[in-house]
Amino acid sequence: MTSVTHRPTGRSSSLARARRRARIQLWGSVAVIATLVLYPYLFGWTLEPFSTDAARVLEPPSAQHWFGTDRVGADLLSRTLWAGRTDLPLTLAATLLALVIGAPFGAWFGYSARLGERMMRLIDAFQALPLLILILALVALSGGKAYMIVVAIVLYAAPSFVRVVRSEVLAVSTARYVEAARAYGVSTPRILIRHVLPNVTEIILAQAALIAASAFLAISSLSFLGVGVAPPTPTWGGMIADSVSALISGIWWPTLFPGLAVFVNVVCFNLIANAIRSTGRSGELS
Amino acid sequence: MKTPPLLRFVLVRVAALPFTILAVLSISFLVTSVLPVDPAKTIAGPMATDEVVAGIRERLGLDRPLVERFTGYLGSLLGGDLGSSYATGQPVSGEIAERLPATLTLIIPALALAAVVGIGLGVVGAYHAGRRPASASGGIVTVLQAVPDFLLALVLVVVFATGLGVLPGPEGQLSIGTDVPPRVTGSIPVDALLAGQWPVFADAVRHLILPVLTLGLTYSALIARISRALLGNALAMECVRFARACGWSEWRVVRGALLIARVPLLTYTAVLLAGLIGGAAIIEKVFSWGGFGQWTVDSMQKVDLPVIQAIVLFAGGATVVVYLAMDVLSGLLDPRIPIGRGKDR
Repeated sequence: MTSVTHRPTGRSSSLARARRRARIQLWGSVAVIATLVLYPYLFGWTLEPFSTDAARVLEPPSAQHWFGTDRVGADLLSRTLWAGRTDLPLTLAATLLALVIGAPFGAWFGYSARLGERMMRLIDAFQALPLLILILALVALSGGKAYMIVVAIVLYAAPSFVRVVRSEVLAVSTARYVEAARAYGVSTPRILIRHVLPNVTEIILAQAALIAASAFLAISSLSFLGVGVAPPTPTWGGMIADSVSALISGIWWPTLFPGLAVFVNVVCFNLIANAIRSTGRSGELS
Repeated sequence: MKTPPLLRFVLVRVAALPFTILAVLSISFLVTSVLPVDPAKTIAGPMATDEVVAGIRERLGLDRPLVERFTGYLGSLLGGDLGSSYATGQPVSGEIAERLPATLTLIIPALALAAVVGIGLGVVGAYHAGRRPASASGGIVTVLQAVPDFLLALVLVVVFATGLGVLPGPEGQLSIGTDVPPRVTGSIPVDALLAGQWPVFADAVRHLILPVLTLGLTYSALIARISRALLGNALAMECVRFARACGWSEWRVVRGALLIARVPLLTYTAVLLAGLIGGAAIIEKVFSWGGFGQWTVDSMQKVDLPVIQAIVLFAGGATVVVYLAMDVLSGLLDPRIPIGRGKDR
């Protein structure tokens, strides 16, 4: 599966450039997200997300408060950075859990096509459920518990992993080398792990980044609606919801910075997905 | 009886509809009952004693075994009773009928806008693939996709309502103090038209612009992605090269490619439509729209169980019906789809 080494020079250099750009995109985005997750853990002592001061309510950005202060006088820079501690780990946990649950089923349904066909009908029925409403219902009924948010997002995301992994495995498992392995008497789990999995990893990782983006948006929407993580803990969605009354009277900074944080994260997740797909073996597909 | 196989296909699917809805119903009931959430505890609040929680559980009938609750729920559903709201005491089915038109008034124009903008961006992206216009359209799509709908709504309100003052702010479907036209369809602009009340109609349309713009732009990103992929495939087909060799104008080639891609494109749009019935909830809430979606969010926050169950059931049922309509339509549009058998990618 090694790439062809002798390419016409012009095309090869432009390909190499595209790959280098994709690699920069990938690691740049990973670095941004990792920074946002880790900063409050490593440098949490520099932040004061919970100290409020009635004397400095809604102050515009200044040298002392780079992002300004919110309507109870808390430092917006601290709160915006601190929110990464809540929103991002929830997103990553939900995506990872959905992947761990969904991918094996996808591989199984893809490899044994007969059973898979039937199980996909079941998943169709499940995905016909109004999932946003179901997520809202679950989280609201539990009173905004963090683990319930993760469970709800997993319910929403796991079926799409099953779907993607299945269609990829279905395509790969008709390949000659899989047929050869089967003829050789290799056991099914071993075929899946040693021969099929390495050839579908990239596309699954790309899909995981896309699902992380939509899970992140869903979590932000939940906290914007006030059914997610409870208020004293800063979340980007919650901060935006909290800033609406100030925004109407023209005070933009309490909305802008958490909004920017949401935007940057979604862009990073999408860039990761694009970069993986364009550097990967299956780069020609998209 | 010109096309008996198609008719049979439709009949079989319609006959299967109650079973599909039963499946949706069972899954939604199970999901909300089996998972470790205790609505009684949430209603009672964090300070309540165990006795209070037990009392609420008994009053709601949550102390009975799962099977009994499920059969009881099914029984009343068969009698056409969706239950009554804990909060208002009103029957849920009446409230759905009252609120749905407002939501449809919002989401149908929004979806039309999303289709126009999204397909436009997709055509540019696919036709100019690898060149500057395509990366511009890709950039627009990336931005649209990364801005959460509630943030876009706030930005639009600030710019057009509080900033420029050209459009009304988030005050619902009509200006405060405007009389609602006599109810015929339940959709305010349509009712105003039917009653011939032009000022009311104009007011309703002005209130529609911002929420429709928000939803339309948000969903156009999804349509743009899928239509770029579909058109890219269509434009790479042999028949397109042949069409060009025959001297078709580029405009006509693009229209032909759109025709090739129309079935999956329509299917995807229908999926979005079904999702929007509940998915517009956040935007309805931001604009105090008072439709199905806002009612959903409000009932969630009040932990109004019968309403929540009814909403999940209704939205699920609507989804199934939309999918069925879509299957039939794609069968009519695309003779290659083997009717009567499942089609899988």
